[in-house]
Amino acid sequence: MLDNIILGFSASLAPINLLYCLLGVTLGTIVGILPGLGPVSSIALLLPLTYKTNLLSAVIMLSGIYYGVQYGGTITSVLMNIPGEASTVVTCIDGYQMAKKGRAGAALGIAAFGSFIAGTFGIVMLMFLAPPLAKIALMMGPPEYMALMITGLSLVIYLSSKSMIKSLMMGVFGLLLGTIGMDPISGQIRFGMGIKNLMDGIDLAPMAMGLFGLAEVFTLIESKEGESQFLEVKTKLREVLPNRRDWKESLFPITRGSVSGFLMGILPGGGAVMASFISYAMERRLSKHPEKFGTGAIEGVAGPESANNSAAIGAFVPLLTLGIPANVVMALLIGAFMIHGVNPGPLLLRDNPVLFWGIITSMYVGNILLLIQNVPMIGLFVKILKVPSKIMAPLITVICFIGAYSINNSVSGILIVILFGAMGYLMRKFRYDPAPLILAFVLGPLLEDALRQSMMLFRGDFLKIFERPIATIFLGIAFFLFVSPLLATLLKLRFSKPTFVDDNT
Amino acid sequence: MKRRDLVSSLFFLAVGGLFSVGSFNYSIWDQYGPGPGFFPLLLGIIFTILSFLLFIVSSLMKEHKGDELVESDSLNFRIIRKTVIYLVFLFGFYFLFDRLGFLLTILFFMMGVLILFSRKSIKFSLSLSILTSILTYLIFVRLLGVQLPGGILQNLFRFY
Repeated sequence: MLDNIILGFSASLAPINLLYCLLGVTLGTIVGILPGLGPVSSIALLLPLTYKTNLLSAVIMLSGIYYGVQYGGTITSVLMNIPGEASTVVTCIDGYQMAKKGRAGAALGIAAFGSFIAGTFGIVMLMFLAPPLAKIALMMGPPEYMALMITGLSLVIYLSSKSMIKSLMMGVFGLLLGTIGMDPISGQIRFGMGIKNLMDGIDLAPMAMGLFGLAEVFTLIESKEGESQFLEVKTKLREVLPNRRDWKESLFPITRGSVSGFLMGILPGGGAVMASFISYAMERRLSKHPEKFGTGAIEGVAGPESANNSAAIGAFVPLLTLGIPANVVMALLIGAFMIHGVNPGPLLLRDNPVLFWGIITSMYVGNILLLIQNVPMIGLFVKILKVPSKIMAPLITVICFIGAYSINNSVSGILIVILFGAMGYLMRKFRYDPAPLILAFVLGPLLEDALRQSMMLFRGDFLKIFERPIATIFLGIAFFLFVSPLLATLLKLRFSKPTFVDDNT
Repeated sequence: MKRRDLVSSLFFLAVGGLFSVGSFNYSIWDQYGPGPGFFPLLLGIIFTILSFLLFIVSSLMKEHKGDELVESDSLNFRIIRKTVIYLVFLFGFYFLFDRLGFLLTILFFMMGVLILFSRKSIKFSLSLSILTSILTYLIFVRLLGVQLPGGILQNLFRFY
């Protein structure tokens, strides 16, 4: 293990990788500060640019953006009561109240330290969990993989939005879009409609840029420009350092947030957003003074902020060990791996140890950079908030288009961004969640491959899958997830029935 | 939301049907097992069933009061007008990018959008547009080595 860690650090501390790490965490923080622009859109924007860099540097930068966003989102939550990122929504509740009481520095400080501690915990767990999990993954065959992917997708669909049918539809639609292009087994072109650019399928990056980045731009264009009103904050180093009492009150919330966040991060569809909400609910329940929550309790900032960072790291576990994305950001990271012809998964550790350990150790470096950067530079980042959204919109568009053009040096990339942008915009209006679509689109070819191989293995008898215990368990979980809303409705009806009868009699 | 669900379910019903029918152009099952048409056919059928289910559920559903109250959700032309105009700008960008080249396209696009949407002065818009074009050249072309179309300015400045 020690040799591997040294190997990883020697790669991640190379000057060029250090520079990419710094670039990633800084961009991530800025993206987190800007309301609306999330990690998905920004990673999608930068994905094409990673063609020009080596894979390790590219993944280091993109991962830096991902966990940097969790830090940055806190700043707007605390100072403006506007979450820069979905995972920091819950921080608004007590963070903003603390800021109103003149304790913005302490709120931001404990968030930064809590995030650092939780991030480090997540990395250590990732280091210990990833190698044994990769070994287990190697023992799994196509049926188990297929069942695991179905379970992962089901979880994302189950957790993604209010309407189960709509989420399920988007998941299946993503899988369908994934079938466009060359068939992975026979090499036949499917649904190409004679269009040359569709022969290799739809590119992930312009599609994600459109669905998330450009759709966001449309929202910015539609929004009314408001005056930025945020609370003035003392940003001197001494004023952002939490005092002894703050530490005492935050220690257990940080610990609990780190553990629960990591577990939530591993689960497909769980992620940072849910981790922060669960942590807040848990802290409130465990607190001796739950009435303090909502009025500026530091535990309400420390717990969720730790949980969202730990979850961000936890999401790397299924990616690096199974090659399966736990959320949309991880799906985009798979795209970066694929651009360079590397398949993330159980073989990554064996075939590419420098890359594997380099990514993990870079997270240590990134976390330290974030702490050094964020605590003294909060004041500077706050100034970015003053850029009006109507100026941001065309700038984001230009970056989107240049990124899309650079993929094949063709304007067809730009057209894909526009078409998927319009689709993403309409999906928002019609309340369809694009997250299952993108995740299914990435998983589609892998799922089809596993399904067809399994069918060949079972000689066409799909029921033979139930002779394999691991696959059966995974499929059982997926089935439960799909029927649970139905069961809940039936139970509700059953309980409400006697009241109805009584009323009539 | 009921009407939108009905409309979108009908649209997706058609999409599912097209994918299902289109799958028959490829082999569904051969001597080795499932062929290239198998997976899209399976998904097409599931998608069609789900769209039909949404259609049924939304036709039975009652419209809740307040469902349409959120302005950002509105499809009112007053609200989406800006997006439609912006979309025209985007298609303009797409058509001009190869012909005019990246420098001029970005310059015109930024100018147009800034003047029309952020209502900034011509002087400010022009300065920011020129700055964006130059920064695009320096960062993407010079630093990252991205090949962007030089267009009509290529012969004048010889970017590559």
